[in-house]
Amino acid sequence: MAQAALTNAAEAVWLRIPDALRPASFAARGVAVRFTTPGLALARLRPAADGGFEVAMPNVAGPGIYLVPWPALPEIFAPTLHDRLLVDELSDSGFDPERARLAQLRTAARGFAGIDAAAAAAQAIERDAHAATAVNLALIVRLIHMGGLTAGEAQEAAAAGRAAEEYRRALDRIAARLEIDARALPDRIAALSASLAAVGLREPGAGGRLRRLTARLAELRQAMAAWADSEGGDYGAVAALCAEVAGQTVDQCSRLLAAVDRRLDALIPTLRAWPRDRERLDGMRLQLAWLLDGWSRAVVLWETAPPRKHTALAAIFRALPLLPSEADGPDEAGADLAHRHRRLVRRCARLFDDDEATPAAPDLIRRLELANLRAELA
Amino acid sequence: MSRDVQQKLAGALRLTEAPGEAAQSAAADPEPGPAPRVTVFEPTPFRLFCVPFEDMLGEEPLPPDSTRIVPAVANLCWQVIVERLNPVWLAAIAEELKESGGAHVDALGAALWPECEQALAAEIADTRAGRRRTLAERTPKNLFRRAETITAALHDAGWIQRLKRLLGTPPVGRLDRGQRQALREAVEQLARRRDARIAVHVAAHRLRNPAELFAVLAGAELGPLSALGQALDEERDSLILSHVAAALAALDEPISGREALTAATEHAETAAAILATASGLEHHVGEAALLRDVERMQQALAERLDASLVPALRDGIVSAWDPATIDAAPDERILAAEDAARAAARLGRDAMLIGTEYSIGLLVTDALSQVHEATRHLAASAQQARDESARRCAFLLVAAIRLVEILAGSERAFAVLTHHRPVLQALWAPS
Repeated sequence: MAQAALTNAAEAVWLRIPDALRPASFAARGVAVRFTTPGLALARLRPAADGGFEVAMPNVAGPGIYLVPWPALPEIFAPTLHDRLLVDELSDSGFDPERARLAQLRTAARGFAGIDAAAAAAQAIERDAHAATAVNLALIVRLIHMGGLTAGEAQEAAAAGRAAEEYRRALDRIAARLEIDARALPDRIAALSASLAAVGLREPGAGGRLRRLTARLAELRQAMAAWADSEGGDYGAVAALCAEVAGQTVDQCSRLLAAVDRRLDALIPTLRAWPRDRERLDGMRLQLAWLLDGWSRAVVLWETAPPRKHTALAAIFRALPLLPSEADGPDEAGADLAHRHRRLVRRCARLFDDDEATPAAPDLIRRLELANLRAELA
Repeated sequence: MSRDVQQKLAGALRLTEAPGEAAQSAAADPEPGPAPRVTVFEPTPFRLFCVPFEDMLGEEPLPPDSTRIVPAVANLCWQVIVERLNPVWLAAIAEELKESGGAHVDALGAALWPECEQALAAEIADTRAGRRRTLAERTPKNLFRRAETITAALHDAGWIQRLKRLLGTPPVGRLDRGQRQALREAVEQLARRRDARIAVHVAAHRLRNPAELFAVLAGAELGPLSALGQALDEERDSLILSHVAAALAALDEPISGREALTAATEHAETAAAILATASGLEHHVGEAALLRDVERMQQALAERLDASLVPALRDGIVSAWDPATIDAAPDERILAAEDAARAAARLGRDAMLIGTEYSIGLLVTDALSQVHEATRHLAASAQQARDESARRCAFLLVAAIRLVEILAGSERAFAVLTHHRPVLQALWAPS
C-alpha cells in the first residue's frame, strides 16, 4: 500500500527520485531511524537542503529511492505518533546515528512505543551510563598496574585494609609521568571513558555497544554466506550480496577499532596529550556509528527469523546499508559492489513481492515496535 | 573506599596481569549445559511411521465430516504392520532412532516407510479378499478408508515431506509468494509421476487455512486420477469446512484472560479467512451445497463473535481504562488492553465479510469513549502528581493516547496528544 501511494505521489512536485547508484556520503545516505510507521520501516532520515528533514525510502519495485520532505509525508500516509514525536526531538544540525539513537530512547522512554519499550529504553539509557563507568574502572585498573602496583601487592594491601592508599600512590606516579596535577587525573580518565563508552575496550576489557555490534555483524556475514551457499538461485544470490556488503562494513569497522585500540595501548601518551585526541576518538566513534547504522535491525531480523529466512532476507535486502562512495578505499570494491547491487535489484525486484493482503496497520506498527525493542536490547 | 571495593580492584588487577585467566574463568563458570535437544517427536518406530500423515492426526471426538485420522486407526494399522515386519530389522531401526534422538527423520523414514506401505497394502488386499478382518471392523469410523489413505501417504512420503518443508512449521499461516510458487512447482513435478491429489490432501492439513493450498493449486495439473485420489478430492470441501467447524467449536469455549482472548481472536480470524478463500475456490459437484454451508458458517461465526468475542474484547479494553481504577492499573493490563484493541482492529477488517460491522463499530465507540474519560481523569490527576506518581501519570496518559491511535488512527490520536500536550510537558519536565 505504501509503495502504491509513493508511486502515485511521484508526480507531485515535491517528490524527488534521484537515480544515483549509491549515496555520496553517510550524511546523504541518512540515518536508519527506528520508525514504527509501516511505510517507513525501510526508510532513512536526513537533513533537507533547505532545513528540516526529508525521508529517503527505497523503491521496492526497482532501483532508486523516493525523497519526501517530512512535513509532506502525511499526504502519502499518516506517520505514527511515535514517529512524529521522534522527529520533533531531532535537530537537523549535527544529526547522526548516535543522536538519533538518544532521541529514539527518549521517545520510547516516555511510552510512545509501548509500556514494555519504555522499560527497555530506560534500561538502555542506564546501560549507557554503566558502560562509561565500566570503561572508567578498566582504565583505572590498567593505570594502577602501570603505576607499579602488582596484583599480589594489591591483594595483600586489600587484606590489610590499606589498598586505597596503594592505589592512590600508583595513580600519583602516573600523574607524575603525565606531568599533571594528581587531582586532574580522575577527570581526564573520566573524559576519555566517556569518549570510549560506546566503543569499549578490547577483550577481556569492557566491550562497548558498537564493538559488540561489529562482532555480531561478522557473525551475520558468515550466517548469510552459508545460507546463500545452501539455498542457491536468486535468493542465494541476494543473500550472498548482503553478506558481502556486511563483510565490507565489518572490515572497515575492524580497522577503526584497531586504530582505537592502538591509541589505548599507548595510554600514557594519550592521556598526556588529552584532550588533543578527544576529537579524533569522538570522530572514530561517530565513524563506527555511521558504518554500523542500519545493521542492528538486520542482525536481529536474521537471528530471530524462522528456518525459512526469505521474509527476513527481503527486509534486509531492501534496506541494505550500502557504503557510500566517501567510504571507498583505494580499490574499486565499493563501486563494484554498488553496481552488482543495482543489477540484482533490477533482476530480483519482484522476487519478494507479496500480493496477499497485509496485516492490519496496528499489528504492523506493533511488530515494528517489538523489532526496535529487540534491536536495542540485543 | 570499602574493603569490598579494594578487593574487587585487586581482583581486576590480577586479570590485567594475566588476561588469559579472564577467558579461562569465563570457561570455568558453570555455563548452562547445551540446550536440551528439542526432538520433533518421541523417537520410536511407531512415531516415525506416523510422520508422513502426522498433520492428519486428530483427537476424538471429531466433527462428523472430519477428514482427520484418530490415533486408534494409526495404532491398528501399526499393529497389522508389525505382524508382517521382520522383528530384528525393526529392532535395529528402533535402536538407530534412539541413538539419533529423532534427528534423522527423513533418512530413517526412507528405510521404514516403504516397508510399512508394503505391509499395510498387503493387509488391505487380504481384507478385501476376506482373508483378514482387523481393518474391516466398523470402529473406529472410516477405518478402512483411512488405512488406504495411510498406505498412500506412506507411498508418497518423500513428496509429502518435501511439501511439509515448503509449508514450514505447523500450524502454517499465510503463504508468501515464494512458498506458493515452490509448492506449485513441487506438486507439478509429482503430478508428472503419479496422482498428486493424495499428497496435497495430506499436506493441506498442515495449514490453518487448507483452502489456501487448494487456491494456490487451482488450475494446476495434478496427474493421473486414481480411485483414492478421486475420493480424497471429493473430501476437499469437508476438509476445509471441518477446519472452520473446529475454529467455531473453539469459540464456544469461555474466554477468560489475555491468552484465551488472543487464542479466540486467532480462531475467529482463521475461520473468516477459510470461509473467504473457500467461497472463491473452483467448485465441485454440489457447488450449491458448499455455498450454502459457507453462508451458514459465516452466520455461525458472526453469532459467536457477537455473543462472546466482541464482548470479551470490549471488556478487556473498557475495564483496563476505567477512570476509577486506572491510576493503579498494572502494566500487564494496559498491554492486554492494547492487544484487545489491535484484535478489534483486525476483526474490523473482516467485519464486512462476516457481517459484524455493527457490533465491532459499537465496540470501538464504547472503547474510545472510555479512554477519553480516562484521559480527562488522568489530566486532572496530573495537577496534584509529583515525582513517581507524575511519571506514572504521564505513562498512562501516553498509553491512553496510543489506544486512541490503535482504535481510530494516528490523526485522531495526534489531536488528543495536542490537547494534552501542556500537561505532558509539565509531567516530563525534570523536577
